[in-house]
Order: sequence, then structure tokens, then C-alpha cells
Amino acid sequence: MDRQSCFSESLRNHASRKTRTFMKLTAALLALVPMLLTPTGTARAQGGTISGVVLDRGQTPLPNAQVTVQGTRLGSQTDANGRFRIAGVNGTSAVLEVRRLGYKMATTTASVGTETQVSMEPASINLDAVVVTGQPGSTAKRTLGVDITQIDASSITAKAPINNFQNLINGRAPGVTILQNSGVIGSGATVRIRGVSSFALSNTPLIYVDGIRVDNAQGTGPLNQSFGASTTTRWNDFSPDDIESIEIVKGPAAATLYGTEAANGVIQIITKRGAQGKPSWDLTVRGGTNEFANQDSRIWTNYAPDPVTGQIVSLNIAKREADAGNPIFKTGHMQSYDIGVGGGSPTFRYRVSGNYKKDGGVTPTNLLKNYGGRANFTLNPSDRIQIESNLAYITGRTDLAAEAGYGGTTWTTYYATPKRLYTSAGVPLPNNGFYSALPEAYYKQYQMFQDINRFTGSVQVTHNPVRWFSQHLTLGTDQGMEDNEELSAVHLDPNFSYFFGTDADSGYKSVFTRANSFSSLTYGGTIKSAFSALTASTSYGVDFFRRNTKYISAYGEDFPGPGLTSISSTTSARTGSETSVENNTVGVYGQEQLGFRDRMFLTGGLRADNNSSFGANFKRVYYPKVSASWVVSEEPFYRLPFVNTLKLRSAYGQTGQAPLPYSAVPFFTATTGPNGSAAVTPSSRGNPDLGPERGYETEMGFDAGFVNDRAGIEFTHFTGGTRNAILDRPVAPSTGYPGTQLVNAGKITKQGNEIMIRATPIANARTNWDVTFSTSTNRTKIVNLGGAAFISPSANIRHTVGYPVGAWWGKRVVDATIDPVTGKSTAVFCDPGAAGGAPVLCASAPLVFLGNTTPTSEGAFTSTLSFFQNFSLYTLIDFKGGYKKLDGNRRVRCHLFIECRENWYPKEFSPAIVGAVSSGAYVSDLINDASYTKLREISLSYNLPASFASRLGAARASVSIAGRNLRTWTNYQGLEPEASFQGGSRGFGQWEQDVTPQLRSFVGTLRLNF
Amino acid sequence: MKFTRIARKMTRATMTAGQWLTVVVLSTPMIGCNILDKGLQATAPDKIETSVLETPSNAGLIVTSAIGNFECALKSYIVDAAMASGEFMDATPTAANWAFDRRDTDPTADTRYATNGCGAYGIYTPIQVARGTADRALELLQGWTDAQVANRQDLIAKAAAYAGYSRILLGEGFCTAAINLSKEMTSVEVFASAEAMFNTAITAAQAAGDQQILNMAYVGRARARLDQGNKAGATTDAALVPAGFVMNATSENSPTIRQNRVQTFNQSGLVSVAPSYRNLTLPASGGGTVPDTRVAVTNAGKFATDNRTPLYIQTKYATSSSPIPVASYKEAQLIVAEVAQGQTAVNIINNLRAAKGLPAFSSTDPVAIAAEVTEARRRELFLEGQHLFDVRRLNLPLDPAAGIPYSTVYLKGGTYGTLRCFPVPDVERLNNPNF
Repeated sequence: MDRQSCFSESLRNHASRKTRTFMKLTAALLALVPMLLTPTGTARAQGGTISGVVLDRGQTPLPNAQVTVQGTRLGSQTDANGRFRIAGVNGTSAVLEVRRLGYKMATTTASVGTETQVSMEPASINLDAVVVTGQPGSTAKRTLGVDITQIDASSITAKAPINNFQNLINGRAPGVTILQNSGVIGSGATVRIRGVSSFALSNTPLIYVDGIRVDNAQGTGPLNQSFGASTTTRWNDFSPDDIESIEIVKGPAAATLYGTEAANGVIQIITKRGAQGKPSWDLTVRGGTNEFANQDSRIWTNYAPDPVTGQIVSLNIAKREADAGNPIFKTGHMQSYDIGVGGGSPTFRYRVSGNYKKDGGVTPTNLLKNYGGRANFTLNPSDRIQIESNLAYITGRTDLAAEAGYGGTTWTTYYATPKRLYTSAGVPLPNNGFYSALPEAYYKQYQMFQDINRFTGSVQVTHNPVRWFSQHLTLGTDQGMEDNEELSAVHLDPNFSYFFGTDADSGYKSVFTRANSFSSLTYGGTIKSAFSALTASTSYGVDFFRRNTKYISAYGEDFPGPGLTSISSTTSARTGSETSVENNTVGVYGQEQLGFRDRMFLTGGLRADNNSSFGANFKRVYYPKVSASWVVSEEPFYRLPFVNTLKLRSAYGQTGQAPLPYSAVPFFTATTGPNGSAAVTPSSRGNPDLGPERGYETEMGFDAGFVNDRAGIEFTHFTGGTRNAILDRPVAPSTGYPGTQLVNAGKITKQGNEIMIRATPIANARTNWDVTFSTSTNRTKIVNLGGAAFISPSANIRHTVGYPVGAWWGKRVVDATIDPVTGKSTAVFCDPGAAGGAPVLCASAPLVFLGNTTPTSEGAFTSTLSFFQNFSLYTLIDFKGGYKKLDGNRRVRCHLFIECRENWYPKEFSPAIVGAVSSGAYVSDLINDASYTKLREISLSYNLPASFASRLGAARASVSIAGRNLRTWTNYQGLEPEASFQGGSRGFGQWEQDVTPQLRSFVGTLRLNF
Repeated sequence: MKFTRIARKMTRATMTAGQWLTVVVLSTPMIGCNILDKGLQATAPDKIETSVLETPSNAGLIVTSAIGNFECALKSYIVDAAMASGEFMDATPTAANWAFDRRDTDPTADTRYATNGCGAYGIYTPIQVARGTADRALELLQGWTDAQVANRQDLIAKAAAYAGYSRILLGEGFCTAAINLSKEMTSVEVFASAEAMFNTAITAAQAAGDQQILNMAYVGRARARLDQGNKAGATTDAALVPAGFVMNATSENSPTIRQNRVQTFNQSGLVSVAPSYRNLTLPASGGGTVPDTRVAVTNAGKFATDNRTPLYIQTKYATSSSPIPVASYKEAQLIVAEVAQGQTAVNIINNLRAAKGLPAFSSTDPVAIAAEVTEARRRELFLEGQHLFDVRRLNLPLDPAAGIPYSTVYLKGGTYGTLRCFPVPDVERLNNPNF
């Protein structure tokens, strides 16, 4: 489907104006040609060398610090041992500026040829920190009118039990909510920034790696939860040990220059690069365990009539098995090895790393095993050109456990029943009380895995022909190939036949591949100028982005016998399909930033986008932005005591989100007609007027440092929303079309506050204590649904005008008439809703608002206590609140399978509970507050004595022991407030049903630097 | 250092590359927006735009597609209606299908019957898609000329006949409905619309000389008239149908969408034949009973997918490629029998029994004869998508009765409801401005 309406149409419609603009731009750029073609750049001049080490508070070496020679472009980065080396220094000495995330900039004079030691002090507020995300180029934080959170990833991985990328960002940035879904190893979390902003499109942030957009798919892979729900994620393909820092752009005010598709924010991963100097090696070895904590006390006791006597009996199968020394959920084991080497010369630097990870879950069928590698190179052939390349590859397999709608060990265990112990004649059943099958049978019967091969690569050429102008060209790609397979092979075993029926008798196999290709090309330039106290920075750029995903699937049923596992061995129902989805974006942008005395900054920008998913009647879209920042504390008149640093900031910006590919075009798809004939069937009604959603946001806040920046507060208030929000409006089937139609008819508003407090309460030679507390709130409200009062995207979920997006709605059972003899309900009464008055019979009661599905508050507390110089105790406690979860386990046990105590001993419970349970149709007793606080991470690290390290041939060595998911405080009545069914009809809803809880992990780590 | 030497060697070449890069970058604006526009072209190899499809050269494809859509919808309808009318019982462990069986489909909460495709229990949307594509085919054909489309009258007859049958399913299965964003229509109004379609089909089939479609339309119009209570009109049409006529919905083993879903869903244990259709017999002429082969059902000797429901398999449709009757002489005769009653009905019943080698029925009691006509429809038309509306039209007892706990023995909650037709789903009610 072609879309050629963008710029050529514009030229036709506005020929003269566009031509003039075009000519001006061309003339301006051509004026630069002679200068750019003049070979004024030279290779690095010969000169002296400055080398040394950068230390944290004069004690611990600091890797990844940027060391530059003041007034020049000479610089380097510290290696894993905190060492740096800068060659080509003219003269006998030079002033060094040392910057590092989380520290005050340090300045020192170093002599050529001598060893220099630089001590850095932590800074709770650092306005000179360099930010590279959301701007045309890198800029100091002081210039920003928006809040961009920076995460010092390398420091966190050095002390915390970080097992994957999502763990790395959890609890580190206010406004970023990580919603864990399943404890199955290899499954991923759902990530939201500042709540949700869309009804029908993705609410997932974009991911960039070193300036290149990469696949951010959440919920891919085999349907191990069934009902269309997959659990693996592409987010965790990035090794935390390769990451130097992470920058998070949270909303439209800051993400404008990312254009269409950035409305949910942007997370940029900045990977480690080699430091100048001899090769520096680092090796990290981890080993540990994963376990279903306290399974025998957390999994329920279920009730049912004894098959022989009819008396109500109970069964706690987890306890039974644990008491027998055979706990149902086993202890999984993990090990990982990460090795990296970096080094180089003034003109060429490198860092190459590799990793291997093997991580086992609590069932034998759950195992993640992958290998990864990364090679980052930096070439500086002259002081005017820098070429950076970033190459990464990961390959591996994730064997997944069946759960949720798929069944599996969770299913057969959670819903175990005395009914499955023996027959009415007292003959033992093969189930032995398990609901559907023995866990061991599940392990043999069903195999699901995902193989991933993924390459990400980019090349960025930065050209600084003159001091006042720089330009860059970046090419990037992300090529991923998933192979997702599901097998149910034949087992000629009467028990398997009893358990699984045709799945065991004849079997089936399903395979689908997802080949994902992202390509991006970005060119941009920045012109800087200064007029006395005024500075100006003019930036422009053009982006092209293409996303193409190809899906191929095959399926077959009925293997002739055991041992056959390929689809070509199936004998019926064989199907295959191939499809691809492509989406392309072209955008241009410009930005002007004005500075006054390096303490007041005003920035304005505009981005224009066109996208292949826009409707034929929709032209291009423009996103403006404007922001201001003011470092008040540097004004001569500033006198505020105790607050030594104060920056005020404010910003307004827009960005958007493109419609789903092809949703604007009415089309049919091919199908098979009678007798195998060719046929077509309507697939989409289309909408030629369809355009992007427009996210808008105003952000205000301040950064304040206290007591010489030993304490700092970053506060942000945001308010905004989404205009032209796309509604996935069902098509009335009587039109003859199935499905839904996307329309730009909705409006959402949202607002919230974010605060991050950092402090160093104790800092002395023996002890340092650094603490961070962050929290955020967000509130969404639906203003318009295109005239509709509500939309129901899935069962029990509604978008309702005046209420939050994707909220729980249902009939709220408040009372019931109870039969005094049986104790069971004879009539169930519900909340009358807005009508008020006495409860009404539930059959005629309205659906009422039952709560949010997305947390409205979250936060975290981290503490790092360093003592006795070589010990460090790190703790992370995080929390979420203001949302509810549907306890689907209770639904299955109490409403469907009739095995709760409430079902059999109703007199022990309130009429409302008995009514809700006995009706089986209402969910109000299932939807409960899921707020929780969790002791997420705790670790104790010890830097081994240098003498010990040297015995290992290392310069430094450290060990740590750590725990993860150690304790949860919650009022949630279900198994796990963080467990959630990911897909299918659950939509927005946080729905826990037959899902593995978050696993408790213990990890030991050995780190060596050579 | 080695890297330094390499870098120095690269310097000159890199500078050249840098200059080349500059030229390329600066040339980009001069090449202009064409490149950018081409960059927006997104391929869609599996989609056919409506404007490309709807041309006279595709007339045959369009009609074939409408028939295919109907056949798929019919199979799904038979499964769902069979559960609701007591021919099948659900045998799945999860609750999504239970409402079909429990007769308490909720137009708000139960989306499966409302919006799912015909491969996954959907009925309202698949039937509407079948009707819509047939209606659109008819509209296009009537706008084109014989010069543009070969066999245009025959294609019109087919499109109209299947448009009529889609309406039959819509009217019989749903308590109310809409057509093309119309107001809420009663079933009688829907049947009247079906009759109009069959009128068009009969006229066009006669013009085209297509006897098969003509007979199909006669049976269809007879059914539409019977559904409206026009018994005389129904029997007039039914009487025109020659012996041996049958128009089937075809099925193939592959792909899945073309399979006989009644057979595959039952065979795979998603549904089991309900108790009242198991082990049916007829009195033998010499005493005792003989199995009633019109309702051929076998005990699979194992549980269905819920691991609790005994799996009974129908054998009327032996394989996933077995055809399903849409219209037949048998149905036409049963319409004649129902209208005529008396000895005419007895004769028809016995002719149909004889065709299966079954013992004859004998009675002069009008009540017994009427009951036997109803029972003959239940058995002869087993799993043909007829019984649900018979339950509604003839006010037959609900099976199982309303209020009985729903399969408590199989660990499923709720009680049997009272629905005799599916409520029009909210997806229509909320998105049709005229409803």
C-alpha cells in the first residue's frame, strides 16, 4: 500500500512557498560544502601523555568517568579499574575535567608524564551531567527544561542482583512502572511511563540503543499462557553488564524530537565503550537459585465432596507433596558469565564483551540459555571526525513453562481437588488429587520454546569541521529472528491419554517465526554561536525509520506414532501462513536553543512527520515544543540559605503515535472457498481520515541541591494527555464487516507528580551511606470517547468518560438473601450505582466502577551503605499502589470449580461473599486492591584485598551475595500481587490466574578486573 | 601502538569518506521529497484493497467468496445452536463456552458468540459477514451488465440465495437483529427480508436455468415462510422440491477454516453429544427396538477435553470433509408434513424412515402424529442447525430444564437458563446508530 501524499503533494499544493524554503535550505547547506571538503582535519598530533586513576571519594576506582582536557577535544574514559590515559597533550601540564553520572564534576591540573589521582564526590544534583537523549546532540542537564532521568547502570550492576534489563530499571526512575507478569524465567514485564496514554495503541515506551531505535516488543513467543498470551520480551536481550547508563524521556514534552510513536516515552540504553589505554579485562561470574517461596503455605487448601463418602474433605496438595519431601515446584539454578575487554589508543578505542547465561525456573521445562556478544569501536582519525560503531548479537533458547490458560503445573496444582483422588468406588485416580494431570506428565507432554537470534548494529559518523558546526549521520539496524515452537507429541501411555486426550493420543505441533527488521537513518546538524552573554544553538535533522516484521507459521495435528516431532510428520489439519507488517516514518525537525550567561535557556523546536499508516485524507503532522530552564542559584542575587543549587524548569511539547499499520485502508484477505477455490473475506473497514494520536504535555519542576549537594531533590509536575486518541471502535456487524475500526475520536487527560530525593547522610573515611527515595503519581481521566459513554475493550474492563482509562467495571455484590438451612443464597443484591437507594437485584443492577487497572502511584527506596572501606550493603524496596487486580485463581476455585471453603461452608461467610460466589457471574469479590511493598533487592559486597586479587592475577576482585524478591507486604488476597495473565481477553486488566508468582532468588557474584 | 598505526593509515581514507559523506548528505535535499515519499511506501502482500477487488472481472470470485463465508458461518452456527438447543453439550474445561450450553448468553460480557470468527464459535459476526458479502455481491452484479460479467443471472441467483440463507440463520438464531445498520428487527422482519432475497434468487435461477439454485431457493423460501407462520406458502414452495435434492455446504480437510466444524469440534472433544441424543432407538416391527440411524452416535469410551464429560461422537458427519445439508428434499418434505399433518405426514415420515431402513410409524392420533413430526424433525435434521428455532417456534421443553445446576458433577458453575434464542450482542446495539 503506497502512501505518497507527504512531501511531493506538499510541493504540488504549495509549490512556491515550499520551493522558496527548499532553496533556502539548499543554499545554506551548499554554503558549507567548500569548508567541509577542505581537508583541514589532521591526525592526532604527537604530544605528551597524561594518565591516572579516578576514585570515588578517594577510595574506590570509578569506571566510565569521562576525562577531558579543558579547552580541547582531547579526552578519554576510565576503564574498569578507574584508569585513564590521554595522549597527544601539548605542553607540560593540562587542566582535566572529569565527569561521571552521579558525581560532581572534578577539575584538576595534571602534569604530562606523571600519574594523576582524581577524587570525585557524589552529587545528588549535577547540572553539568551530559544528557544525550531527547536532544539533537549531547547537552548539559542545566540546559534542559524537562526532566530526563539518568540511571547509572554500571554502578547498579556492580552491587545489585540484576538479572535482566527490566530489573535494572525497576525502581530507579520515578514515573516508570514495571509491572511484572509472571515468574516464569524468560518472561517479561509490562513497562509504563507516566501511566497510559492510549486506548487502542501500544502504551509501551520506545527503546533506543546508542541512538538507534530497536525492537521493544513485549509479549512475544509461544502462547504458553494460551488465549493469545505470550510472555517473552525483547527488552531483556540486552545484557545489563554491557550497559553504562540509561536515560529515560518520560513524555511528549521531552520526546517531541522523536516524533510519531514516542508518546509513551523513550528509554535509551548507552552501552559501555573502551577507554584509552592498555587492555582492561573484567570478568563477572554469578551463580544462584530461583524458588517458589513458601509454596506449601501459599497455595490453597481446596474442598470437595469425598468421592466415596460424599463428606466434604479438604486437600492442600502443595503441603502434602512438600511433607512427602517432593515439593511440586523445584529450585531452579542460574549461572552467568560476563567477560569484557576494553582499551585503545587516542585514535582507536574498543570494548568487546561476551556473556553466557543459564537460568532455570521452578519447573523442569523452564530454562533460559543464551549467549551474547557486543563489540563497540570508536575511531578518531582526526579531531574533526569520530566514527562509532556498536555491534551486538544474542542467540539462545528459552524453554517456557505452561501456565494460565494453557494449564501446566500451576493449573493442576492450584486447582487440585479431593475429587481427583479416587473414583466413587474408591479406586485411586491417576491424578492423585491434581486437577488435570500429574506435573511430571505435563513436563513430558508439552514443550514450548523460543529461539532468538538478534543482531543490532549502528554506525555513527560525527563531523566537526569547525568549532561552531557539527553534523552527524547515523545508520542503524536491528535484525531479530524468533523461532517459536510448541509440541505435544504422542505418548502411548493410558495415563497420558486419560490426562490429555487427543493431545497425547495423536499430538500436534505449532511453529511460528517472527523476523523483525528495524532500519533507521538519521542525519542532523547543529550550529552554535555566541554573542557576548548570549549563546545560540540551531539544530536540524531528518529521520527515516522502517519497521518490517514477517511472520511465518505452520501447524499440524495427528502424529502416526511416538517419536515424531516435525510438522511434516503430522497427518491432518496442516496449515501454514505468511504475512508481513511494514511501517515507515519520515520526519524532519528543527530546534533553536538560546542561552544567557549559561544559566538561562530557552528552547523551541518543531518536528514534522509522515507515516505510512496515516489515512489517505490525512497529510503530515507537526509537533511543537518549547522549554525553559533557569539556574537560579547561579544568579548574583541568589541568597537562599541551605539550597546551594536550584534550577527551575518548564516545558511544553507534543508528540504522537501512529495508527496500526494498514488500519486506514479497507481491505479483504485471501481465504479458501468451497472445494478449495480461491476466495476473499472482508477484513477491515478502514478509515481514510485516520491520523496519529497527539500526545501533549506541560511539565514544570525544579532541581535543588542542599548542603553542598549532599542532598538533592528533583521534583516534576506534569499535566497533559492525548488528543485525537485512537479508539478501536467495534464495527456494528450488520455492516457486513468484522472487527473494529480505528477512529481519532478520544481524549485523555493525565497529570501527576514525580519526586526523587538523593542524599548522603553519612560520609566519612570509614562509612558512606547513600540513600535515594523516589515516588510518583499519575491520574488519567477520559474526557471524550467520540460521543460514546463507554467502550468495553474486554470483559470487566471499560473506558468510561469521566473515569480512568481501562478501569475495572462490574456489578458490585453487596448483599444476598441466605437460605437459613443450606446457608446458600437465594437472591443476590448489587450496588444500585448512580441511581442510589437500596441494593437492587443484581440481574437488573448497573455496572459500577470498581477500580484502576494501572498503578496510580509507585516508588522505591534504595540504600547503599559502604563501611570498613571494602564492604557495601545495598537494599532496594519498591512499592506500587492505587490499583486493583482480578484474582482469577479465586474465580476458578470459587466461581467455576466450586472448591473454596465459601462454597461448602457458606455459613462462615458474609451474605455478600456467599452471594457473589454462588452466582458465579459477578466479579466484585474478585477485584481487590493489589498495592504492595516489596523487599526487591538486597546485597552485601566485599572488595577483596589487593593481595588476594593479585593471586588471581587480577587488579581488583570483589564478591557479593544477594537476594531478590525476599518479602512482600500487601493486602491483596491472591497469590501474588505482581502475577498477571498477559494477553488475550485480559487487555488492560491486571488479571492473576494460574500464573507463576515472582520467584525468590539468591545470587552469589565474583567480579574480577584485570 | 598497533591500533594507532592502523588508525593513521585510515585517516586519509576516512577523510575522503567524510568528504563523500558530506556530499551525499548535502545532495539529499536536492534529490527532494521523492525519496522521502518512496520511503513511506509500505508493502502489504496479504491484503486486497476493496477498490481493487470490486471489478466485473472478479464477479465469480466475489460470489464464491460470499458462499464460502456462508458455509463457514453455518458450521459455527450449528455448533453453537446445538449446544443451546441440547444436541451438543460443552466439554471444555474453561468457562468461555459454557454460556452457550447453559443458555444464559450475556450480550454484554460474552463476546465469543458476538465477535469471534467462524473458526472460533463466532456466529453473529460471521453470519453478518456472510450476509454482507452476499448482499454486496448482489448489489455489484445488479449494477454490472451481462456484457461485463458472464453468467451474470446465475451469479445473481447464487448471491441472492445465500443472502437469503444468511438471513434465515440470523432470524432463527437471534431474538432480534439488524441488517445494514437498520433499526432493531424482529425475527419475523428478518424472515420477510429473507423471503425477498429468495424471490430474487428464484427469478434469476429460472432465467439462468440453474435448477440446483432454484430448488435451494424454494426450500429456503419455504423455511422463511414457515418461520413467519405462512404455512400455505411454505408448503407450496416445499412441494416444488424434487426427490433427492440436496444442497450442501461443502467441507474440506484443509485448511481448518473449511473443515466440518461440527465433526472436528466433536471429534476433538470440545463438545459431546448431549444425553438426549445418545442411544436413540425406534420400536422394531417385531417387538423390541432398533437403533435409530438418523442419530448415529457412538461412545468414544473416554473423557472429552475437560477430562470429566464422557465423549459421545456423532457419526452423521464422518470426517472433517463431510458436507452439511443446507437445503434438502428431506427438509422440504418435513415442512409439507408439518403443515399437512394427518396421513400425509405419516406417509412422509415413513418415506424418510424407509430411506434409512427404519421401521415405519403408524398412528391416526393427531397429537401423536404432530409429536412424531416434531420428533422426526429433531432426528432427521440432527445437527443441521434447525433444532434451536424449532425449540423456539414450537415452544418445545428446554433440555435440560431451566434452573438445574449446570454440570455440577463436572465442576462447572451456574444453572441452566431460559434463552431460546441468542440475544443480539452489544457490539451491534452500541455501534449501530439506528438500533
